[in-house]
Amino acid sequence: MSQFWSVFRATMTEFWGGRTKYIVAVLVIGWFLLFFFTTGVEVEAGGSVKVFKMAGVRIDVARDSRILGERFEKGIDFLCAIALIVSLQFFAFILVGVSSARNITSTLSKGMVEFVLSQPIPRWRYFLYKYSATVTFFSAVAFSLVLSNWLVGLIRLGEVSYNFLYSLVYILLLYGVLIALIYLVFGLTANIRATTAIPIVIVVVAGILHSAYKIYSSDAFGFFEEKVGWGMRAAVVFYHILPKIGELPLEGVSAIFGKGIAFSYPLWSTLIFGAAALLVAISSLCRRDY
Amino acid sequence: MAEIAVEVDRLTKIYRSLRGGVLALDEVSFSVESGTIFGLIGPNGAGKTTLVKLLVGLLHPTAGKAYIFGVDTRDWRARAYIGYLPEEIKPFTNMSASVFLHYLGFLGGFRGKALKRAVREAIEMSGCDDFVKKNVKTLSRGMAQRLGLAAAFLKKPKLLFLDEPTSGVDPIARKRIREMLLVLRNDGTTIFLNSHLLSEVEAVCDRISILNKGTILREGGIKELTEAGRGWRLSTVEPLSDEVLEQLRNKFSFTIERVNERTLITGPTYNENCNLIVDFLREKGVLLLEFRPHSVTLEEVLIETVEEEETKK
Repeated sequence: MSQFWSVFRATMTEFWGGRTKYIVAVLVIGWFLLFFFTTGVEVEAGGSVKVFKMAGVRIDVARDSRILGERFEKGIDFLCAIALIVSLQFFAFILVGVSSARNITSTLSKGMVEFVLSQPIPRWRYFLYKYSATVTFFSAVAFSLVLSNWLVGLIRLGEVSYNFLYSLVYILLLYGVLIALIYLVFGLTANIRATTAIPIVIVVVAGILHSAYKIYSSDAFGFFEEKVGWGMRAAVVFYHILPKIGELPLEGVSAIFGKGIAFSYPLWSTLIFGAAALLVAISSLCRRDY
Repeated sequence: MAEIAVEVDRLTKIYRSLRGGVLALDEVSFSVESGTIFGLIGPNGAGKTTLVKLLVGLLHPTAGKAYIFGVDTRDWRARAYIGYLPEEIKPFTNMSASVFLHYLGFLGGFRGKALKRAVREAIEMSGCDDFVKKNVKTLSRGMAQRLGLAAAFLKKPKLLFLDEPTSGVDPIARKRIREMLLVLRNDGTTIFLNSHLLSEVEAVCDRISILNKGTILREGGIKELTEAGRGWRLSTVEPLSDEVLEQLRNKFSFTIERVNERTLITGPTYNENCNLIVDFLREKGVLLLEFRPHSVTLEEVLIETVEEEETKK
């Protein structure tokens, strides 16, 4: 257990010692900027309030096209708020991907890995601890994002959300799978650039394809063509082209195991997908020559 | 009988790739006694770093086995005995030098005060005091090398693997490292040294192995390799006449030749024969300057051994 803490502390030091802290700070501040933009706005009763609260807490919003185009009385458009939320999610996600990949590859790069793996600790244990520490760090980042988002909702709406814990578990799962995917790519390719690029490319492309399909199959496109101005339209397009990260584990499972499994048991299939990726990654990293 | 620190038994390593395999080590066997300094020398690509990496558990052997104090190197417990300084040191991390050492200390099993003490001692021993707060990414080559040494000493290991320990280090620091190795050896630490600097190997090692193309060509003590069977070197005030040389040849049935105005006598070198030679030369009125065992440098031994092997093939 104490070895876990040493790997954990070192991983924290590595993340916090670099530029990651500034990006995390910007992301956390982002929610407050969002709050600032909507300060003093009386939110309409009904759908928009409810959806905004959902947006604030679940970070997974605007599935209901009925609210599209609804506005706060003053301040930014609701959809602009949604677009901001989604973009914050997106950049948080990219941050997780790039930082995790850099952390993993830097520790296991030539000139560093020799020090680490010549210590009396089984390889599998080291990799598992490092994975856990990475997930924990980014879950803490996610926690601060959710917390600040929740605070915005609380201050703005005067209510606390019941979805708070759900969001946290959801993000933990999501980041867990993403980082397992990064480990898997490094385990199989042993290439630093590929480790950073492949998981990000996979999720971004999957997200874009998914969003394109949703736009094509929904009435949102026509709706905006008719009723809203170019600024609004740009916000909506921005929202739609950003990958909906909440759906990515599902996309991954769907791509590998088929839609049947993915949509019947999304939670379990996602978990199994992440665990299998991690298992293959650790096994591959353990058998590798350094 | 001394304890065996390293035992290598027909260790083979083949690097496999899509284009085929490269044989890096071919059934290498040897052993290193505890409390000695063992040097591994050989030309580039001989397999020295591969051998060291196999022993510290970074590579998996294709065949054969190796043991560290009786524990199979594939078992992580074997690494409890070792400290390792790799050839390339590039701690690509955001930690300070001090945090880096604490991190490795933690992984090595140290806690609390013992950890702090171990880090402090390793820093003092390797001379890292002046840059412990610096980010390891910003360290110069020499500083990184000293940090690597501190990391290797951290556990106060029973067995130290040093891959090019003085590479990129200035002459003063190099001398300090040499002295440190001798102190460690005297304290009972076994040192496995892989170095290109043969003068350094010659100065500190008790035994060496010459590795070429994955095979051990020669093994032995430094004196044994540089002096054995090489005869005696005789220096005189005046060059020996051909007549005296001929008489020496006939009387002692040695191989006797003239090298740069000196005389090289090769053959069985018993002390009584040496006395007889001296007596004979004095009888002939020859004034002696020097009469000592003829030795060559380790570099000459290496070149001679490798070339001999190449010629055979």
